[in-house]
Amino acid sequence: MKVKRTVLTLLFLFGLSLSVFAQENIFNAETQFFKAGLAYKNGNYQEAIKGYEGILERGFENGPVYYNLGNSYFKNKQLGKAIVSYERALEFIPRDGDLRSNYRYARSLAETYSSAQAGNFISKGFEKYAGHLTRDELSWILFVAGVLMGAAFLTGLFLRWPKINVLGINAVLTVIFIVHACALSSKIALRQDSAIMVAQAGANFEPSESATLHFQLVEGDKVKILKIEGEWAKVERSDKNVGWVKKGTFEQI
Amino acid sequence: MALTALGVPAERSYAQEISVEAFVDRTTVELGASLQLTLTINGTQSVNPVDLPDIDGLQSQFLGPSTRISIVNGQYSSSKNFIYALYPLKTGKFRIPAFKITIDSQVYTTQPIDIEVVDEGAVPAPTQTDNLQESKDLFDKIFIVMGTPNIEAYINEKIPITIKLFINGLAARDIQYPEFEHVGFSAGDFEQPTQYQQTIGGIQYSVVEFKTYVYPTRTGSLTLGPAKLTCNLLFKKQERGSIFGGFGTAFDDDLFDGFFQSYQRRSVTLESTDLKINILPLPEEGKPEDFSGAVGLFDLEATLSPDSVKVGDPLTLKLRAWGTGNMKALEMPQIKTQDGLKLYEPQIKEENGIKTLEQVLIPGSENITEIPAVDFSFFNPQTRKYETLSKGPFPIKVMKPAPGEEFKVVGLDDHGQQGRLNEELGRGIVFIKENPGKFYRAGSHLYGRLKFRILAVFAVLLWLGLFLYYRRTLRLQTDSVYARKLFAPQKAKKGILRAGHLLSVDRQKEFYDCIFKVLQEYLADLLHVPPAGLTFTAVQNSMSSKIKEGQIFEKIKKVFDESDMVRFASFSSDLEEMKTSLRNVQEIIDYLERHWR
Repeated sequence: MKVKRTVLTLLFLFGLSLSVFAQENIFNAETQFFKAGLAYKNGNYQEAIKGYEGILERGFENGPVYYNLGNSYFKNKQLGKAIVSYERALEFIPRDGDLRSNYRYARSLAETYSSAQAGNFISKGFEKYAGHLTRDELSWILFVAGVLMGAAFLTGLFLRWPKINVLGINAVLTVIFIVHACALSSKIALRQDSAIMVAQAGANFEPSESATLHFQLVEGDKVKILKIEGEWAKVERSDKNVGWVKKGTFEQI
Repeated sequence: MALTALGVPAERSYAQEISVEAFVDRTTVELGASLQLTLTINGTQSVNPVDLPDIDGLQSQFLGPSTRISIVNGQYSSSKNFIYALYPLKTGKFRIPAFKITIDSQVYTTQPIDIEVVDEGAVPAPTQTDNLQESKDLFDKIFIVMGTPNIEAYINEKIPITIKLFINGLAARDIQYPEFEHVGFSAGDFEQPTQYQQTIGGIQYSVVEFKTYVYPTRTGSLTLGPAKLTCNLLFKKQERGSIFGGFGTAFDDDLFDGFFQSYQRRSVTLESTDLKINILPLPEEGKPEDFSGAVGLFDLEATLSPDSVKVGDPLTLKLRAWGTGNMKALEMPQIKTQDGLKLYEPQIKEENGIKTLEQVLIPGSENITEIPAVDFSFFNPQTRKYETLSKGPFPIKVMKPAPGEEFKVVGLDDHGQQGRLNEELGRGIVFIKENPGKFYRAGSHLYGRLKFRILAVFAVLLWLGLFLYYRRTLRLQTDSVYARKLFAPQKAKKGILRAGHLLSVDRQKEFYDCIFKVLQEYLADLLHVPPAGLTFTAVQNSMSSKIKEGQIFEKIKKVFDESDMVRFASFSSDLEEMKTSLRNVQEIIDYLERHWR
């Protein structure tokens, strides 16, 4: 009995210390956020970048941190890194007007390769819609759609609704569920495979310095990472050209 | 209970009339067997069991009451059944007389039912070959009837059509809306079907009634139908003999029959006879000039707003027409043109049987004092005459516009935009955010968090649990074989406990009464027969095909015999024999629980 009480007390104190530790960490992150903001206002962008990166190193992230970091990189003439930060911020605050404006402006300044986006109006519409939702929001929508499907199904059974009504409601909910599941899946895949060039680099035919240059990638270019082999990564540009670039010239989103 | 918990609308129609009917499960019965008589009282629950009078050639036994409550399309209906077993005493033809039942001082009378009692064995057991015959008789158990009250009608007159699906003793699923040939007619959509019970010739049918309307588009003798209806019939795969028996009624419908049970579906297409309808042309005599083909009985309402305007301001004349005719094809009356009155294209729509016309009019002069009357003519098939409805004229007051209001400028103020058109906007990035907002652990997403996953699993388990609860409740309500079999061991266990108590206090007669009743009721539940009159011979005959263990039958016989001897022949038994009998009952039940399927 005594041992049990001691164990419970220790567990409680451990949990409490973890909670206090987490609170303190958040407090420190907030302090660092304000300090970095002050540095930005004073025009000390290097210090601001250091401050925002420090928050990320503590293991915290959110939309304002990535947004402000993007601004700091932008002011520090590091366009590629600014675009990467904006891309990451979009994951948290996709409907933020300031962020979208800055992101578009940064991309417009980068002399990136642009090709007409493939796909019909449905896939474009789908991408646009999915781009306005975060992963957490998509998860909630999937959860609620799933719960409603079950609720509609059971309510139909208990209240003896006509079968066509139940099927109709569930068909609508199923479409909602599938669309959002696809959106979540594509977002996860996109974040895992996509990268932004943070420096100008040549894409070779082979993973070697002496290999023939295939095409040029400029800072801010968005590429898809196909494979990583040692110090080299096989990347695909939006025009489907594939080449090998050195690691360190790009940053994964 | 589940209906109440999930919120059935409180508005119920209690205006159900009381009616009484009697029906039997079959009209031919063997001597030694029994038939079931059901007295159904619709529209009330406050009625006591009815004592049957003596019936010549038959002995009756009251089995119990049952209650039925249904809510279809918001209509509440209830009925109470009193079920009786009738045991024939001799062969021959007998008549179950009409019963008089008094409810709330009103006397209701049932129809008499003729039955025939034949010698034992005269009605052969169903075999595989007989299924062919039974298939032929299928259409006596399920059929459709198309009908109309109008065998003569005028062109474009609304003719109600009723298609009734009759079902007796079959389980019909996936009932499709009927289709019927209607050359020379324009057919409307079907209304939501209604369901009810109807007794014809002493046999009770479940009826699904579909209603629609047709409008004849040409004259002469036209044929409507035949109507065709497709549905699926369910029967258990393992069931032998009759493939059509024992499935409840068409109202036992549920969405997922066959999910856990092994049912086989058979699609059937039913066809009715056709209808001959004589379509008359509309008379020329008295036909108004503005008649546009409307047939039926209509009403018209007209409103004008506002009734006081300035020159150039719009007025709206709204006409609403409704009635018993073909509203979709109804042509709304036209507003007569008038000098100085500008008419715009009217907006016409039809919703819930009401046709609406909205006409915008603009008076161009202050001399206009009224909007002309609107006339609407139709042919009334009941009086066989043309009738004209007239609304208006509508007095209006048109005023001169105030100075400066002669022309209204609609749209953007160009002057306001002019100065900004050539403005060059600078570009730059929007300032940093000063509110840190909520921090998240890096790489942590909702779908990866344990709490969210537990919540999702909980939701799935909750729905699954509710679904299984629904299945079980439904099956207990509809499958009496299953329900009796399920509760048989629990009931028997209670009886055995009671017998053990009687044994301990050495009450021999009560003890044997108890174990006899326990065993008899348990076996009756397994075999789905009434317990009264269940004999060892009947048990052996029913179980011998599945139970090969002869000792079990010996034990059953022993318990039955011992019980009879103690109960009726005043035999005495010692404590050891009583214990053996109780053990035998337990062993019989244990064995049958493991081997009886």
